[in-house]
Amino acid sequence: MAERRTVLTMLWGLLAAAALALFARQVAAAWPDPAVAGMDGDLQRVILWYTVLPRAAVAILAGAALGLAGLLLQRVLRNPLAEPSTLGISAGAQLAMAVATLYAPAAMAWSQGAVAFAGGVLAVAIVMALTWRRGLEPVSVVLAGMMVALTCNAGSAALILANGDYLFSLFIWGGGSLVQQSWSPAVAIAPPLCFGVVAALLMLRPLSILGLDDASAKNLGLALNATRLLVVALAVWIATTVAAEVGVIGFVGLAAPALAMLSGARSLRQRLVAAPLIGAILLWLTDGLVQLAAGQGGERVPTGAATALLGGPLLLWLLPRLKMFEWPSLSRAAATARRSDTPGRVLLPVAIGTLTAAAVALLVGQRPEGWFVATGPLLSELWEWRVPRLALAAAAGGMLGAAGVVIQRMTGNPLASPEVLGVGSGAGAGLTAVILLDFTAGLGWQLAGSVAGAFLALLAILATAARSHFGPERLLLAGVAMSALFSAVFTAVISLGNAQSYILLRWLSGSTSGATMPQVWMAVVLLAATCLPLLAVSRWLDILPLGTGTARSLGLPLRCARLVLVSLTALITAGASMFVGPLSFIGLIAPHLARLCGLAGARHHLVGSILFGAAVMMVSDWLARMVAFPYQMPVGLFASLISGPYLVYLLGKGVSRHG
Amino acid sequence: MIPASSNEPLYRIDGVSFAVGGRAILQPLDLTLERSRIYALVGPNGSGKSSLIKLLARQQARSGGVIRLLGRDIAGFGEREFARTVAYMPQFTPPAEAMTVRELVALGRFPWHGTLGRFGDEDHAKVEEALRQTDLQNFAERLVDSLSGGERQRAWLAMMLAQDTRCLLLDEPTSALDIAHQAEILALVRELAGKRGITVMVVLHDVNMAARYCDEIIALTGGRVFARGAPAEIVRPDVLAAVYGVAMGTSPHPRTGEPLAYLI
Repeated sequence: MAERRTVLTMLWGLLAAAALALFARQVAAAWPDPAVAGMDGDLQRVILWYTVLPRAAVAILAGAALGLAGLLLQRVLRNPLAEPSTLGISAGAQLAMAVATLYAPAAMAWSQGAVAFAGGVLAVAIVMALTWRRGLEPVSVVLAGMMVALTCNAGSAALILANGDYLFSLFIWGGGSLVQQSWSPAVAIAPPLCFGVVAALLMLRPLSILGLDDASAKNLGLALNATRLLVVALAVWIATTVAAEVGVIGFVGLAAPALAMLSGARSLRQRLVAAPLIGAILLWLTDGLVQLAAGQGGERVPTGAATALLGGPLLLWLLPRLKMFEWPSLSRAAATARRSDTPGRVLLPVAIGTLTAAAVALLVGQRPEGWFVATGPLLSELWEWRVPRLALAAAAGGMLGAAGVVIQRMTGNPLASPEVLGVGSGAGAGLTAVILLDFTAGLGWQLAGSVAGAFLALLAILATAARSHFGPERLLLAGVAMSALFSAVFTAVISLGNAQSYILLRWLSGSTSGATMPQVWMAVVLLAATCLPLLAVSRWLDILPLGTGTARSLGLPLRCARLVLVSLTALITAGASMFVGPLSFIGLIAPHLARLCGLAGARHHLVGSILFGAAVMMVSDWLARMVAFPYQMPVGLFASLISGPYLVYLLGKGVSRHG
Repeated sequence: MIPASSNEPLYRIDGVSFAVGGRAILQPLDLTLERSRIYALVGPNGSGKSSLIKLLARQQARSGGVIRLLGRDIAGFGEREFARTVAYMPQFTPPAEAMTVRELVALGRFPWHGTLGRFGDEDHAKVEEALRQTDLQNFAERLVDSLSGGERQRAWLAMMLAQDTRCLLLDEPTSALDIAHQAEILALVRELAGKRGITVMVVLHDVNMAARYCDEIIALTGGRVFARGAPAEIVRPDVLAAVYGVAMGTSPHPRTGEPLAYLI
């Protein structure tokens, strides 16, 4: 054991040496040429002194700060996956700064750090408030954090789209660029870091007790909630200071404590030293590599995107190895199953409701003078504007509803959905690859790329899950890792700042405003072509929730069934997310709404979920047009704002496993 | 379907072994299971009981050797064909939320009608028969998850009966039940096996239960078959001590005179 630790310590030493070597290379490259005198010589000295050196300092300080913040959050929340980016702290800070830049520039001028801190605190407060009733159970916390982060990102994307170039630099900032012009960021990060280290060392004992469960901690006389909130606030301060100075840098806060533990730092004191050190080495090294890759061509890929790119796979690798605090499993909560004996009679009102939603969304509108119902010639004028986007929203919603049913039944996991498992983001990554290869690629190619991406993402996640015998919780966490990985890709591409970036940004915010009839036909054909086969194989969907053992003993052709279902789901998700973006959560809630109405059999469940998905999506589309009239908001953002609270309600209730 | 007239035993196991990550769970073992008999599989934790029954049920792939079912290598069976011959109940039956007992039992007909086939009259008849034989007619419309442990186990048994197989493989069907329900389930299994002339292999922890309800006991220890035989040949202090690694004694049942095992 001791031997292993020495080896690992040496490994970290080597990595630090590598980072140092990369740094030396940068310094050597920027070293003022003594032969050059005058202005040019001064310039070279300025570059060395105000760009190269502070950049290294910021990388080291920010890495250490994130490592410390991650460790503190993981400790007080007893959640090995807590860190500034998974809890939505960074995204909250980013949104707060975007909003402040637009609407309260004075606040930004006064203190960027304070604005970012306010955003971060708000985000973490929302996450904790949402999951308080479940005792801050780790999976709920991470899911709620992901939802907050996604919603904040969508909000930022919408703001950037609405304000064009003015805010575009903010997105590059959001990617976590370490390019420096002065020493001030390094100077800004140092105090909270030092304060944090000192405070953590002083609070060593309460922090150790917080690693136990609540009852033991209370038993030992700890003012549990006060301590917890205090430590969280400290971590948020550290993390948002980093976010305000250099942007969103994901995964360092996650990886550093985990790697510290895997490297043999067992006690809390050891980890308090090791985690910031490892965080510093990680970020310094990554930044060195990014600079090496950028070469003379200048800085294009933000370091934050690179850390997420490295961190996503790391998280997937870590998941089976992490010892999770044992919480009552999501699936063990008491089942409150309701079912209707006459599903036909349930489906009819659902269908009528969906049609009503369609009619309202089509007919009711707003104009400067007020509300109106379109009829006659006015309707036929509006027809060509409203029908395509409405039909597209409905088809996409229906598809997501169907995909949700298949994924939930296939994994036997009530919280799984194409969005949560990162399948939608996988589709986006495929789309990204296609538009990067050929900017003018048509709808068909874009769809093909999305399908390939979604297929690979779903396959990867199911394969990981099958091999490590994941419980339902770890599957969801793997999905979170997957989404984070892909969003790093998006951030990197968007920060390129070219025409492709705008396509991707538009896609990310999920807008149907540019819907055309060919798109509608494509979506409708896709919906029919995927859902009819699903109805035909609904017996598989009845059997699969009972687990592989039962499915196999009943003679279900498992391999073939899975392949067919995964392919169909990938096709559906890719199609839907191409039209409404990756973040709607419709695929999560539509199946639940159908189940709440008592639709239990797979076939009825599927039909009900498609109808609900379509209805929710049409309502979102209508709201997106009406709420900020005369401006339009992206429908995907709205759909996630509608379904997000429902997800949280589910978490709070303690979802029962269902099939 | 394989002709029932051939003289092959139901299962013939030749040199079958099973290993996970380089660790041998089952040493190469040979075993034959005759038709229309009830076998109990006993042994301490980690002796390979569950692994063996999972190999027989094709839930796991063996590491070596051959398992023949009615003379054919089980690897050569199609999925549904195998499920029409062998039914398997996992140790932990999964929750079947929002599914009625009748729906669960009807799933047992999947190997017969398949993905797209019609659920025909014969299927209905088999489901009704299974419900009747397990005395579940009054529960048919109840939700499976609303049943008590013993009733739920009966519902899963009914699903296996609806599968209409030659063989039932039960992995600790009584582990979550009190003693009255243990006896009820095992008596039911014994009665139905006799009625239908099928083979049953059941993993049990309680050797007295095994002796009472089974024709033959197979005792595993350390991944090997230590002994097999009629209950009286296994329920002996020397055999039990060797299998379980604790000193055990036996005494005759006051009524039947069968040997009963107890800890010393």
